[in-house]
Amino acid sequence: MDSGATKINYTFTEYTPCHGVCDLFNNLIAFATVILMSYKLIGDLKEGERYFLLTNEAIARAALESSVDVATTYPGTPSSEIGEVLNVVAEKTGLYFEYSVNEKVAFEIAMSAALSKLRAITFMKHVGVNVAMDSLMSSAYIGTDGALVIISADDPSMYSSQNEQDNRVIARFAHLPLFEPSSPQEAMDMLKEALKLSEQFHIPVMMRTTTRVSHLRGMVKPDKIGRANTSGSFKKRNMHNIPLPEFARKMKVELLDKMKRIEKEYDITKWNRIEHLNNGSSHTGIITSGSSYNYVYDVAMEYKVAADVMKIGFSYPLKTDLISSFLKEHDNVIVIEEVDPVIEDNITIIAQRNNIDKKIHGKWDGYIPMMFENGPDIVKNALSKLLNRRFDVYDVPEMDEFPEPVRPPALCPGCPHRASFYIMKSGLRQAGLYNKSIVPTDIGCYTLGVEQPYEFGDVLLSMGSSIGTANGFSQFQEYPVVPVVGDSTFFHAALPGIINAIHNNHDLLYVILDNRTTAMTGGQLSPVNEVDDAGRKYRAIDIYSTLKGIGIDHVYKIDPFDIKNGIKLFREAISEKGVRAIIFERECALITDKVEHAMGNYHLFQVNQNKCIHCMNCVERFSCPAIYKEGKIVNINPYLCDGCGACAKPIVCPPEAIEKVS
Amino acid sequence: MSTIKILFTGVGGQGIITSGVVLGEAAILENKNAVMSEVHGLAQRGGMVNVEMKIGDAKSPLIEEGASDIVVGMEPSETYRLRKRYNRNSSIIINTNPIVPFTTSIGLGSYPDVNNLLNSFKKVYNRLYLIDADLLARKAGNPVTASIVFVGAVSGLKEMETTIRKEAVIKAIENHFPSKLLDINLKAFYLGYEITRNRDNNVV
Repeated sequence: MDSGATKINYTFTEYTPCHGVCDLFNNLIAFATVILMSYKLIGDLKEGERYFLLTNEAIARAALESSVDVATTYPGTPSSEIGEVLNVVAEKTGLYFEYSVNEKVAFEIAMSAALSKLRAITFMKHVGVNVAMDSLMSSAYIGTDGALVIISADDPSMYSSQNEQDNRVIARFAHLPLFEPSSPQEAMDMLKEALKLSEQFHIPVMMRTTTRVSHLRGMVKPDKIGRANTSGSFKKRNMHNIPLPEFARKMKVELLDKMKRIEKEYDITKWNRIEHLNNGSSHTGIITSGSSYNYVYDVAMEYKVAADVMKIGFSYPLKTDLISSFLKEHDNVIVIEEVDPVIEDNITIIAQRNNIDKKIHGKWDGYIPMMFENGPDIVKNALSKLLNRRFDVYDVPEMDEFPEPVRPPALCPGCPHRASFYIMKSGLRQAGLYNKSIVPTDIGCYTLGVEQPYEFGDVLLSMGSSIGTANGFSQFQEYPVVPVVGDSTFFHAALPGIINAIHNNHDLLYVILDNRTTAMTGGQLSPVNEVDDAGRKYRAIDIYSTLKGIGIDHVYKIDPFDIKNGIKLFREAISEKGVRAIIFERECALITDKVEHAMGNYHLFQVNQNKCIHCMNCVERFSCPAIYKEGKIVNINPYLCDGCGACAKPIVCPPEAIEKVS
Repeated sequence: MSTIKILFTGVGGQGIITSGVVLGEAAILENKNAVMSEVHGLAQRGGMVNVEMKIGDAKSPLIEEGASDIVVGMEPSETYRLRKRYNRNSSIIINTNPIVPFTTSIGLGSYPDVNNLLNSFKKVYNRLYLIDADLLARKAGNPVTASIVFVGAVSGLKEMETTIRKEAVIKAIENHFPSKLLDINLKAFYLGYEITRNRDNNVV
């Protein structure tokens, strides 16, 4: 800490002021209870009353109201809350809800329901749609007998994703009609409409939300819930569902015809409407969708901008006549959307094809940025440029300069991954391989291992990519390759990669960090689990015997809190040749805490200052958020300490100065 | 119809979302519209958390630069970090208790001197309320109620009188919390409410 920094004393015995941080965990637990209660309540909302709901909660509610029969997902931010709600309310209507092993399987289950005359939804984050893509691309060719809606939760600005792909592009690519809601209420209405459209035209329909819509809380008026039916009837129609080349060609002809019919016959006026803000203006025409519509509305109302706004809620296929008359009727036209210029490009094409010679402003001429999410300031600047008008700005005063502390996301106190990283880093150091061996990492909380001080992670592409890239690295360079993956990700996408490694005689040490849950998205079910929160039973898949069964001879398994033996084992494994695997198995601390705290068990460790030799190993190499130093004194924040005791092991604290408090 | 824009900032786990949800539910009882942005996902615990909220005729909760009417700063350095988001005349409520991240222990960044920081706030802002929300929360009976102390402090502000009445907020708290947690939360509400009520600023 800098000399000028605030002095804070967390010594437990004389601890009176809590400096805020103390309540983090208590508060979290209280908060979790409230949220869980409200998730259950989504099934009991009274029709006609108003509720303050998250869009994801509203979508789950809409699934109940519209009698959706089947809902599947693989958790992923910003879509996760839809599943969390459905998981606890599905029984209200008898809906079949499933956390599938990955998005492709989730999609295929939903598709099979739609082929069995049922109503199905499947939802996932934007990159999850990539996993489902192979099947999704053929789904519109085959079509539906019931209904299928795919909800893609995109993440502009990448709040919790590896890229910000704009999945509206997929709607056109795969020939799927596309809805783009702006608010919780609209998401609710659109899901119902999308199901009907899917049934009417026998085609899968897509709905795209973005983080700012998925996690927007607003006013919702629920309707009454329906009744699900999970006994479908699949109609055998020989060739109809098999896109062998000769049939696929026929299907493509039918599909394009279907899209033309939708464009012609489907009444989109409710979703693509023109609003005359501040009495409207033929001078200014704004075309917008999703979250950007919200910013346009707010800025226009705040600064009394008279404009005609075409709000596009149904963005593929776009109805040509509506667009061309809007273009003709307005002097200045701007398209405001997030992320890619999807609507803008479409509109430019419509203008060109209809001989409308009008400049269309938007992303291509820099009025709106080509990347990241929009916001009120971006829209304000764009309108200021378009209207050649200066808007008022607020008096934001200058303040003195102060340091701004960094708060990167960090592994929780008690997290088993920290101990696993400590083991692996120590093992590599001892073997003289630290900074030499290649560590392809994967997607989960353990991606944070790349942060200081563990710095464990060299390359990451997507779910399961650790093992695939490891296959290559093991062939093309000399140092040991140590891919790292979590339990849920292992089953999600790693199995083909590991089979490939075995079959092709690659040389790698596969590390599986098995924390018994899908932790990063909030602790959803993982295939290793036998029972879920609601007490439902599953068949657990054992990672050890899976690896053994597909032919890895050297599979090790150890509790990462057994740090000393863990290092020994890891060193042994790294010195071997061929494909070998080591499983670090220990339950996520948040799950352990939930059980322990419910039984009233709290544990706590603190530093015995008489024994501490100030080696700083715990601070600098173990680095738990609960351990901090002040000058040379090391202390443990009693309110952050999880009581796991991993730091008290002599291998982390040689003088054994970290002691359990009774 | 004017819109009230509220910016909440602090550290994950402080109950920021709870504060916003209670105010939003109070808006429903007043037959008003409310929109709120939330942060979910990748390791929010101990990380920076901002929640933005508008009450009135608004579609997006996101607040443009400098436009916040009310700032709920649950942590001093986080309030400082967002200084471009509010203006000289915003009502700014700041918790005087710093949360020093562990990163300062491993040499990543540093935490400012909190007294100097708060003094700097006093120099430039016209409507500043410095409160020891954690102390008040403990007074109420449980440190967890700090987020409701802030709800109280927001409700006590003059500009809220015509937007959401105190009674609606109390009703929302009653609806939101299970009965065994109700008393301490109502107590926390009043402790916060009394601090800002009818005062132009209050420096504790």
